[in-house]
Amino acid sequence: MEKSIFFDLSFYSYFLAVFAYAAWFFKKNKALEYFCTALLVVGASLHLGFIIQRWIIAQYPPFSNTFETLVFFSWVLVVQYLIMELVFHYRFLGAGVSFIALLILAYSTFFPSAVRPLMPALRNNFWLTVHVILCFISYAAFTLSFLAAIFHLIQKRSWHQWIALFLVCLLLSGLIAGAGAVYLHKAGKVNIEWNLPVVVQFIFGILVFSSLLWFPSFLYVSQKEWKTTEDTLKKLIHGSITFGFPFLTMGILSGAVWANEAWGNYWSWDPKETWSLITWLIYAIYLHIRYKGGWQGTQMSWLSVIGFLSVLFTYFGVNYLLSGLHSYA
Amino acid sequence: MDLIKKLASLKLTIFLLVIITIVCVFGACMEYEFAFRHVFSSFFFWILLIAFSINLLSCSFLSFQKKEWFNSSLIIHLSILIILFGGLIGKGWGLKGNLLVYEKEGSSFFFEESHLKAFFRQFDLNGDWVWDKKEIASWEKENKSIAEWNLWNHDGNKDGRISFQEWFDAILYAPESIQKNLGMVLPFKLYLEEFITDRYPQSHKLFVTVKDSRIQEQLNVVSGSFYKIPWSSYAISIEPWASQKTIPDEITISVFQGKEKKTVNLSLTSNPEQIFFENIYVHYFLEEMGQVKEWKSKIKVLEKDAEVKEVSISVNKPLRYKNFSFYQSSYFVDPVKKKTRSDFMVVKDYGVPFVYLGFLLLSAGLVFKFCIRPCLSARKK
Repeated sequence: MEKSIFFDLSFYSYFLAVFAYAAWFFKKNKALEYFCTALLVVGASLHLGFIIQRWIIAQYPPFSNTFETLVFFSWVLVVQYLIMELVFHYRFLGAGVSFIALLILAYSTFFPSAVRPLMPALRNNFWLTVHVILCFISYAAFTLSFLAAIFHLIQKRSWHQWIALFLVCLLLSGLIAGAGAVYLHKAGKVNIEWNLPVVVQFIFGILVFSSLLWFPSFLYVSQKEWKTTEDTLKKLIHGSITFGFPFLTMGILSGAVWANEAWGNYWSWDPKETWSLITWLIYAIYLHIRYKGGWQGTQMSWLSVIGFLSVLFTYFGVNYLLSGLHSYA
Repeated sequence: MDLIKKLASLKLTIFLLVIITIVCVFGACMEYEFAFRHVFSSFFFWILLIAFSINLLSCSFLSFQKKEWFNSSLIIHLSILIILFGGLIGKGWGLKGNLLVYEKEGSSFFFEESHLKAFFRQFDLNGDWVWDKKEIASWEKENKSIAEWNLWNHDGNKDGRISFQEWFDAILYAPESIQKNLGMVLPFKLYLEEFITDRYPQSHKLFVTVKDSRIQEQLNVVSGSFYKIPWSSYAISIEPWASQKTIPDEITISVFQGKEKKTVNLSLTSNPEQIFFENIYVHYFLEEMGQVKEWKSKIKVLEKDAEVKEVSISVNKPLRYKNFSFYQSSYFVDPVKKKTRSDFMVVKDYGVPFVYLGFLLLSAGLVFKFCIRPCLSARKK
């Protein structure tokens, strides 16, 4: 693993930040507030140190493979959250953001991290930097809107609450089960052949595990008195989406210009391109529906959740399930 | 006016966006070639895009009527229309094809994509052309294309199969009148002086495998580096050496399992592989050849056999000449001719400037609407 002390230290900072923010969530305290923010600031600085160090060693912008983009994604997420915290003083997403940043960093270690020379198609530092940075700024903004939307939904005393909670449990279980399966397969403990019965068993296992996670969380959440107002959450969801949307658009367009420079085609309906267009369309639908009015906050939150699921599929799903020009990403 | 208002309605916009999204999801879940041909190039998809354009156009018209010239939504909608217009020009009046040229040879002929697609559907999995006897009979009857018919003469074994190379050579050296049936002849010639594969320097690596597992890692040999082997309890450190510039043929590595540590010297020549803790194999080696850095074609542009330009085409660095763009797309080493062939994608697309203008306006409109304007109104408040 070509990681450094910066990577490890930022990982530990985020790990502590998860607990610090969780503690703040239960007991509001000024000193704890500063401590939480300080932990994240330190983590983000060390994280940036790692990115710069890798840039210097590799001699190209470190956005060329899954490991590097995951590391960058988690950094942008933390930085965007910190800016939001600084400007609007919202801290209730702190635990969620630190946890996701931590998960992404942990997940990145599953991928080859060796510094490898760039393949010919990626040897355009300008477009590589512009395209990846713009896309990941938007992905981070959509992650924040997703977190706020989930937060909004689980505050509702209705079916929205238990479904949103179940979705979170499902995502977590899927992640844990996926990591477990890869570990068992890699370590040679089991030989997993992905055929229909195995997939069915795998999905069934995830559903059972999600239900086990869901039940106690539901008992807790349904009793909890929430202090964050609905207006704040709605503002945050909409603000994150309107911030991320122009960046997603520019990310897609810069990719199109680059594709035209490298392959002579600015749009070729490659699965990654198509899925980013789908994500763009979902958020465009969100913006138009909001402009038109008539939909309630919960419906808008669900749309934001769907948009984020599309982001997840564009980033991860396409790489594993569909082949195309972005096979290296 | 009522009709325009109905066509510009937000409900219709949302409906169309939802339908386009569903069609895209449907297409994205299918096999790429199939989706391209039967979904994204289908009549239904075109109808959807036309309907969407009419919706945007009506919306823009209403903004014009209200004299909202500097409305960012208007700019966004117009920019999407400009992009779609650019795409339409490219699709309708653009040219796309493949120019293939051997080293020390010149070519002005390129296969048009539409013709190639018609041919390729008849190649089998080995890349061999499979003669369809009924089709040959129909060519004979209709005298459809001399070039297509002449292919039969190039079938070396007359066995009903022709390899892509035989087919390609048949067309490449055919008279211009025949070539024109399958593609286009450029008003100039591209002469391939040399095809170069640039490589990165060979690098020193450690190949690590763990017994009875699927763990395989290639590690870069860097002085003083430390690696954790994922999915295992092992870690490897490479002892630093004096010179940072050259990597020695003999290095010292330590393998850790928990607190236990084993240190050995690995040499490229004498003992490149070692086993540690009876479980982890470490092999020190030098790559046979460096990874590909760039594919480059040194090209001379000839007009009436006189050289007018000398350029190098590579991925990310296309040649643009007389409204045509040439992109390095592939290469082939011919084992019979013992020559390298460079393959270029040829594109002529008058729609690109419109598409780029649309991109610029769309970005500017969105940034103004969602980033700058909210900041300005927040300041006013």
